[in-house]
Amino acid sequence: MPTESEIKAPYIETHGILEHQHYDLGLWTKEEFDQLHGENWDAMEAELIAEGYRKIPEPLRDLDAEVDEIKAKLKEAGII
Amino acid sequence: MSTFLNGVLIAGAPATHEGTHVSGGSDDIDSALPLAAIPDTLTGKDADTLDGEEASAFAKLTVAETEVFSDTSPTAWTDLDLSGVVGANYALVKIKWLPGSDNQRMASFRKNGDTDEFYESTGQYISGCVALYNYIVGVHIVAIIETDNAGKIEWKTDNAVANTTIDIMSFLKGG
Repeated sequence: MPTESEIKAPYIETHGILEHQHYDLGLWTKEEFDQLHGENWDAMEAELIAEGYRKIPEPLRDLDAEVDEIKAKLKEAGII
Repeated sequence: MSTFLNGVLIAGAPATHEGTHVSGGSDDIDSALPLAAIPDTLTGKDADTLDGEEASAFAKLTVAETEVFSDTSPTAWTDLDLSGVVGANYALVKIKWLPGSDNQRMASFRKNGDTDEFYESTGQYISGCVALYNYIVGVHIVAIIETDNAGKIEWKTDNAVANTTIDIMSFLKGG
């Protein structure tokens, strides 16, 4: 099983190459660069998740809905 | 007799001390250590050089209300180049983020090239990451983030939302 650092290494290298190609050499448009940049980190995160180093991001909690749900349960139980 | 402190010659110091010493008690030490030699004992560098390093070690706070982003927010880690304001160098930057709508409740920021994760869905861990649960029109969220050595950070949000803005409020410029 690869270490976290071993997984990250090629993506860090790719990130450095992309940054050099974009900022120093002007090989990419901003849109192209942003897409490649995002895809590089997304791919790294997917690999880290697959190897168990990261959790799958959960959807954002809707706290207002959760509060409403609790209120409804308390009401149903006659507490409020 | 010659006496050395950290390799620096302290000429005459023992004689001066011995002359005022009170046996078994405390006494004033009239050190003959020249002021200019003190930096040498710590760093091996002369006083002028150390003065220059001390000056650069203390960054100056710049308060500069400057918009650096006004567009549709990204949902993958994306560069945000702040060098036009903070310079192409390390900087500690205080920013304010204004979500474009109530459909945007999370933005995460990190130094460019940082491979640690700062995006967390519940916002319980807010290091380098800010979260907004209840959108209120016109309310800004503040974050403090460091740039890389070229003045860049990365950021992403939970949803792509138009009219999202980021302003720099102030920054400390590094070396």
